[in-house]
Amino acid sequence: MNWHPNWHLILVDFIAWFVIGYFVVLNLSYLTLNLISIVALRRRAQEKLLDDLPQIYSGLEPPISVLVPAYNEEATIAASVRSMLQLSYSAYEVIVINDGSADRTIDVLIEEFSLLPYPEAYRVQVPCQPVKQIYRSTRYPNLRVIDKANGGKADALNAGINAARFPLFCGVDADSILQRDSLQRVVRPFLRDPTVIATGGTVRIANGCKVQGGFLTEVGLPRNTWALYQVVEYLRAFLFGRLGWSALNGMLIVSGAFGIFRKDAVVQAGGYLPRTIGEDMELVVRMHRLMRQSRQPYRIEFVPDPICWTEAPEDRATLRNQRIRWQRGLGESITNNWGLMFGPNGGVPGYLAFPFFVLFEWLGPLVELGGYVFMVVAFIFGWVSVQALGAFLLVAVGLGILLSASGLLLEEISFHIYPRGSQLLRLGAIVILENFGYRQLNSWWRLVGLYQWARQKEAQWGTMKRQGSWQTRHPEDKP
Amino acid sequence: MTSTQATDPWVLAALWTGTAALALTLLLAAEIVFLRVRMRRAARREQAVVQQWRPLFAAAIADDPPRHVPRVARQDRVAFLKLWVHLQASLRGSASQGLIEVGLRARADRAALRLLAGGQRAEALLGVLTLGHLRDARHWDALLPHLDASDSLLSIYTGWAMVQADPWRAADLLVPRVLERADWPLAQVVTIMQDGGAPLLRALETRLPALTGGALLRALRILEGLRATLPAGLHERLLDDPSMDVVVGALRLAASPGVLPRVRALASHADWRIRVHAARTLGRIGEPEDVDRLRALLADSEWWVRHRAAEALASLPFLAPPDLERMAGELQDRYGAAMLRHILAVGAGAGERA
Repeated sequence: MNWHPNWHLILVDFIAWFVIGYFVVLNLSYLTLNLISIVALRRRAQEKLLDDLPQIYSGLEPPISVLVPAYNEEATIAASVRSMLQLSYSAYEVIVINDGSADRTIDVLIEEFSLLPYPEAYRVQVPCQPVKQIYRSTRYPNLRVIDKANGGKADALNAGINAARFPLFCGVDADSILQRDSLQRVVRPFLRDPTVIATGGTVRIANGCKVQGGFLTEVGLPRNTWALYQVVEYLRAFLFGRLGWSALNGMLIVSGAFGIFRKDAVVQAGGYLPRTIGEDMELVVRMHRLMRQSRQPYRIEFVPDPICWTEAPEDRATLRNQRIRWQRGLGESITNNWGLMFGPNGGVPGYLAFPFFVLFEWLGPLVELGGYVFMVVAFIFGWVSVQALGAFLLVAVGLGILLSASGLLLEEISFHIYPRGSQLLRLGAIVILENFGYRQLNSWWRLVGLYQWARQKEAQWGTMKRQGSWQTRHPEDKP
Repeated sequence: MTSTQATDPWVLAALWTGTAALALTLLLAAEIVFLRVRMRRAARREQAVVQQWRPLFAAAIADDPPRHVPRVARQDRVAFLKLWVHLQASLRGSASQGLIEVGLRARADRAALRLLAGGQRAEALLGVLTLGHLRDARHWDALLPHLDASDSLLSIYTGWAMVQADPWRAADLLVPRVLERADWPLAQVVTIMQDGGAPLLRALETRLPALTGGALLRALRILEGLRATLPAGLHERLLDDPSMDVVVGALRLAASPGVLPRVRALASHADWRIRVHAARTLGRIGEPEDVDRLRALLADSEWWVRHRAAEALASLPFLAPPDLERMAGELQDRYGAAMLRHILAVGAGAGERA
């Protein structure tokens, strides 16, 4: 068999076109989501005037059960729960689920909130690990605590769902910092549209912010560079990633840090899947799949207001573990719900969102890093010129900077929570700098996550090194 | 020899794409700077407006209206009205009237009408809110076209403003729309109807006998929010409706002993949702003879029926906690007994906190 004398050049051409084409399609897709988000954000900004008016409750607002899974949170759980008890909403309850903590989490809760055991008629609608005891607070009528055997976050949430009294529940991470009106804002889609089954809110980076009494009092930017990169990343991910998909009813993730669900819809879907890493995304993708299969009208929406703040990793090792874990969670969510891909009555989730996530989020690291490696190797072997290498890098980096800049533009159009010029300059610098190393490092970690998912390696959450001091009791906190 | 030169198609495509991306980035950067400068300027102007007008508004609220009310410059209109509306929204009675008078002297009504006619959504909303707080029926014709706007926020707030201006006149216009427009959040509709008072309630009650389907269900939810009662004949007819949703809606409104016979019959309905609400209703209006009926529901196969039956028993005024504890001890059904003890414990907790 005679090979074409320049077969390697043809191969180089083909791969080069493929990689360039991939980058262009990926970034054009994001830019399209960006444009959709701009429209949604402008509408939301026009309604801001109403947010400043005093809230009047009619009594028809749906009551909400706030579920707080806790594992080994003895240092921070009291402050977290105290802040959740100060949320401004017409009717809600707080259920803390102690998931078999090895430390004094349950003891702290009992002491701080005067808990007493009581004979709850516990109803198992979604399977979970055995419940040892249910407590109620003698001081806070809307606080209960479930003490159960360890089963993981998903299992803890299921236990909370079983005990929830209200038609909506809100899953909140124990270390999430909410705003007093977080529930009011994130429940709005349910008031407008009875087909809404879940809503998610924007999660922002709390590093560098001032927190008092469990609530954010002043927004700031972190000094730590790793955290700064994540500020820009989160802007991209939430302000046009999720908002854009939400407008199309194709949002596949509601952040575990803060999201509201209709309890009956989640119970119908079977609750959270235990022992999954990305239980938040897996549930939402499953809800899409099941609702589309059963042809029930529904919406899963996103509220762009910054209503939940979380501490981001400030060291490389913790960030690495987090990104690997997220990629594994993505893999689980996709493979557990493969039926949504081009499924019957798939709609936007099945024909657009799911394939997008498969191609660009899940398998993306393979192509992105592969593209970089290939071009460098091809240059070293003399298959591509320095101009060609430069052109490729110009596309990869140029489009990356454009995307990050558009995230910053969306922030400026909408909430502009970083009012100082110096903050804007720092963010602008990060928008450029993150494309020279940080994004590529992320792709590498995501590739590791993909590999570990493929090998079904045992998941490790790792221990996050917490820097935030807001969780310790403040002198002005009420006892 | 390198296979790909600067003139190769993909290289050219990449160069142009990358260059376009960087050019767009520069444009975005310029836009961000422009937006920031504009926002800063607007914030400074707004701050100046607030500093000028807040003391004047405070004096008006304290029943000491200022002698001189300055003109509001065109570019300050929005900031002025935002401050005025924000203050008005938290006032009642004479304080509110004082602020209205200062607002009129500053020609807030003309500014609001201009914003309403201007077309921009946010400014139109501000215009509607201002006219609503001014409570002047002369603005009726300006508001009317926006009542049927496809924008649900603008339309519902226009309805609110018309109720503020003239509730009697607004009743016949608003009530049919309240029933038809599923995009108007019920919670907000109830608040508007509470503000409107008797005229709106009467208009809704007049229409009730002729309503069916979704409009009827919506009406029942609104009446529940208003804590209204239905005429006895109509209530019984609704409790016999073939639609389970209507029966549930009617049960939620039951507050008078007149419908007790019908409610008792529904306590053994095949649909568990009906049994839940029947149990709940018996807890509100039940008599001593209903205790056995509720006790039987403690053995229901549905958790929610057992829960509501236990709650109903605990809320009956002629049963004390010792009676319920004795009942729990006597129950054969352990799930029913557990539910009753659960409700007793919840009630005991409330007692400790009292």
